[in-house]
Amino acid sequence: MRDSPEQLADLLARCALGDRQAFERLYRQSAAHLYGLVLRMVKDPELASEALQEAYMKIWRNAGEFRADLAQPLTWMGSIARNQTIDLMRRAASRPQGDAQVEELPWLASDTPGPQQLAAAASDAAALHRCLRTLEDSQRQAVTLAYFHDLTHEELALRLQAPLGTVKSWIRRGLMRLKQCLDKL
Amino acid sequence: MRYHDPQLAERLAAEYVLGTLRGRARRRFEGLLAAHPRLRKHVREWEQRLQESLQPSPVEPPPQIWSALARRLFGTVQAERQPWYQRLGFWHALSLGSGVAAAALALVLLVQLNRPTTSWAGVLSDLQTGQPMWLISANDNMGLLRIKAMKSMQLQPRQACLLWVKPAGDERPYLVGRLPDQGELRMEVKKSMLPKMSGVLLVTVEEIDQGMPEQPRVAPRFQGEWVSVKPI
Repeated sequence: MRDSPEQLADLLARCALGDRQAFERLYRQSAAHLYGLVLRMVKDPELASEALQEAYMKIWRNAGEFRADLAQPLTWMGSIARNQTIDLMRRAASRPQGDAQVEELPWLASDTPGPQQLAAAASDAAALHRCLRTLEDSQRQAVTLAYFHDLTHEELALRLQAPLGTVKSWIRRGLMRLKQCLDKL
Repeated sequence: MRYHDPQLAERLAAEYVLGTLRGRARRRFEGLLAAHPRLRKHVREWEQRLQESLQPSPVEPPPQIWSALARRLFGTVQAERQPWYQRLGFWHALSLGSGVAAAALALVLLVQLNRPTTSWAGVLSDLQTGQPMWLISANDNMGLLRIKAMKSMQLQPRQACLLWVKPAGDERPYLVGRLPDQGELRMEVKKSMLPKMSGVLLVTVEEIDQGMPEQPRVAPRFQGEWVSVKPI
């Protein structure tokens, strides 16, 4: 069973005091959540493992900066995991590669849902994604590609074979529609 | 830019979190974040929104990730709360630091060699900086110590520098006595401590107004090792 936000916040506070048992418990309770996110961003298991470790090292060191009155613990940890993974993706991309012309970098996770995603989609995760489904396909695709794959407007335009202005408006409208839907929940 | 426009502020915060706000616009936005709590609030709200609506299904990570993480952070697979002197990481760091002390030891050897009763010598140096702080020498059975502070220590009124010895293969350090925070001191070692004296020397800085502690309550700040200085 997953700990409540209050319990996770308490564990983070104890981590800030150097309590390793609290850190282990925090990891046990949150790692599947963060690993799901990391795996969605990089498919290479070694890179995903490295990203998850870097995320938790940062969580351990910065636990004192978590403010329970300002953020949900899982959101705060998720942001750290996403930023660490983006850093790692950029470092991996800047390494010299044999074939510089490769358009699709091999560590990019596929956007086709695997059996695991499909199975989970049927469960409680689906409820959270209700708002995502209110977006038009092109908006949803642009927003998810940008979020998980660290793509710029220009890279999105290339990837989605659409004019830059169109991509920008997909993003803008997609984000606003998400907000409207979430605010109504 | 018209950052006071609420709709623009909202949109910039959203694209900042999404990652599509780039280059100069991103740096400018980051500059404004520090000064504008409302912008920071927008950013936090968008972090929450995007994670809530885009969060992929949880995936249990392979167990070796935790082992690797614990090793990197704590130098051990187990995360149980252990006293610092039982942690592998600490002793690993210690052995790296002892090389620094070796240089200062050459100095001691020169000073001490001409004293016929001196058999052992060591330098207690700062674990962080490697700076030597005390010279320590002992007679053959280590029952009599002579300790010289190389510079004066700045201490709080109730604090003292305590010398500990951790015998090889023993789990814990044992208290030897209080070190001088300046000048020189001769110290007689309790008989019961003599068999333990050949171990690693550690110094903690702690409050002693409740009396001398049985075990260190804080991590050591200085360390040193004995070297035999018997004339060949």
